[in-house]
Amino acid sequence: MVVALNAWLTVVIALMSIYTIRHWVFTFSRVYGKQRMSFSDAYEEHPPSVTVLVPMHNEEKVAEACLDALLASEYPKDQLEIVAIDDQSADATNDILHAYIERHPQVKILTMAGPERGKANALNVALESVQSDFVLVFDADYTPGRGLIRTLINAFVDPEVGAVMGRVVPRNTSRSLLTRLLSMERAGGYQVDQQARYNFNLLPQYGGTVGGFRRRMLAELGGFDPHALAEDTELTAKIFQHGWKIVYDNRAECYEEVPEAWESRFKQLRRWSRGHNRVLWSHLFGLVTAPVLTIPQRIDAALLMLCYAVPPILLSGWLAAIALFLLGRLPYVGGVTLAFAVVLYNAFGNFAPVYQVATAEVLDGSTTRLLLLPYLFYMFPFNTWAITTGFIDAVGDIVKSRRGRWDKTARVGNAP
Amino acid sequence: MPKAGAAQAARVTIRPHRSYRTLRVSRVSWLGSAVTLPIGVLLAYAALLVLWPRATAWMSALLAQSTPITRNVPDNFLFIASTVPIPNLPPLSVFGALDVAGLCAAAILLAGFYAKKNAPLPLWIIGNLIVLLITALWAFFEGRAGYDGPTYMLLLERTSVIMILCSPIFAVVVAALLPFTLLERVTLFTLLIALDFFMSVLRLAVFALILTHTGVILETNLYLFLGPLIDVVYFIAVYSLVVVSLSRRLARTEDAWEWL
Repeated sequence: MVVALNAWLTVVIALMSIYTIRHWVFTFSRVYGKQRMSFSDAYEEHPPSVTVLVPMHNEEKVAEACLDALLASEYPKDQLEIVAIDDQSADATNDILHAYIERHPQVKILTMAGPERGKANALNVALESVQSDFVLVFDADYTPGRGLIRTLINAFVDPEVGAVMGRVVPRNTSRSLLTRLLSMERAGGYQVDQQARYNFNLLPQYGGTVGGFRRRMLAELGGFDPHALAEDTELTAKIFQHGWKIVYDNRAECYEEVPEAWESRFKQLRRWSRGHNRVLWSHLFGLVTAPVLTIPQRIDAALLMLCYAVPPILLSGWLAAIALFLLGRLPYVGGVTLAFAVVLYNAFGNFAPVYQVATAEVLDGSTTRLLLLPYLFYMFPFNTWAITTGFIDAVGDIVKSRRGRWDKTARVGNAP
Repeated sequence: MPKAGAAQAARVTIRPHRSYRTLRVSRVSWLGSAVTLPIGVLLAYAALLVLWPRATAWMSALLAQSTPITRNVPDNFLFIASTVPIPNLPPLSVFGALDVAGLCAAAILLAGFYAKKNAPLPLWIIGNLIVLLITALWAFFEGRAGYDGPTYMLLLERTSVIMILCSPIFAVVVAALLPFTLLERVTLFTLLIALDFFMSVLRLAVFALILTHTGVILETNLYLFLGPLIDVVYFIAVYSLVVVSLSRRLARTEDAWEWL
């Protein structure tokens, strides 16, 4: 019993240490390393036709702002198709959209009728009528800048590129402590983590909210899994297994509304964790054995896929430590190492350790906001528990072969 | 007609986007990192050798005066002498443990209700209550939980020593990511080691005091929750202070940046 507990504690500490080293190397690369950049100005003369899909479910508070931003895009109007997908909204979204297209006939509406619901299914249906070679997807709470579509689309000059992802920047940062902390997490995750993975030619993730893909590639891959809760992670896994590339463009910033209430954030994290862990179950083996991937890419794939399984593993490590303590068998070094592992890993937010967040904020030019760094630790039990519940949901889904339910993130819809 | 000087002052400076910038490699800064590692560890060790015996002896004597049921024992760990206060733990009451478990379960339900609206703080409380509940149930079924007074305090004291020795290593590793000046590095190290030292002595005293009144039932929470929490919070707090200083300096220093 004691040997088993000690062995498990050692495994947990080793895993935490691996993530810590990984994040440190990524941060170092972003700050001092050679930065890999996407193409720019490639389609200056003859921009290709692009379809922008905006899936919406109960988005009455944000729908118009997103469409307004897309219509203000500097991309040639004759090459741009905008499709708002109303996925069985129960609020006024459908009325708002119909009123909107009367004023702006260039926007199209696709109204989904049951029985299936969910973003992946809505995208699949919408894609049946898309003619453009390139498709961009934005969530309805996003407000893309005027040049964003052109910036993103440049990545497809490389015929091996299957998808592109831009940087997510919260626009309601100043609303509350939660939004400020989420803004810091996002900075660490994109400005440092995604860029570093792109620098090292690892696996930058297609995020599904400010990005796009090549329509032909998606057709080859069989479209989205209609029951996926993390259709973006699932697509990322399929893209890399089939030898396509994903470009991360740090310059392609898009502004989103992060949750302003803890309850809403909890649901969002839980859904992400549930969806991501289902993808872990179905794609981990395929990714780590994919012959088209290099060894470092396979290692990155494993660490990427496991990232939403780490908090429950960390919790199990705590339980092992508690059991050893109660047995009076906690080794001096073991206890200390556990404490340090927790400190060093995500004690300070799930996907971005404190030094990664700090570095991202320094690169972004933040100053006083950095004083909030200790508060990232405040989120630790919150993130750990939200992700663990999502992990348990995913295990239940897999064991009972059940489909997940799409929990909508509540919108506020206020300007900053 | 505008003056020439005014026109020059109004010159537009075009800055590239923030996504296109990295920091200039500073060999001096990296050398500073490399040098501060052994110096930091040696300083921490020297501080422990010289100050730890006096600080722990002073604290233990003070504690023994104010809390008559506490006795002191000497320890020597990694050649670092210390005086460790040993609380006389009240005997474990099996049915008292059951009462604690019941209270914890009720408190968890109550906190769980509030956790929906304002999650992190109730979750911190729930986390601690769960550990307390496990400890109480363990005590009820096994008749014991955790360590006796002397072993627990020695574990705590030795953990503190290791933490103080390790903190410079982590400070260096983290500081290597950004171009801190020598002054900022010295500030980071000094504050970190001084706070670590002070908080460790304080922690020994406070934990001994708490255990004198509560017994083994709180040992797990103190060692696995509150102890690491104290270390984490001040480590990041000190780090954030120094990073703010660095960021303000970089904002004023054009040649600190490289643009892609």
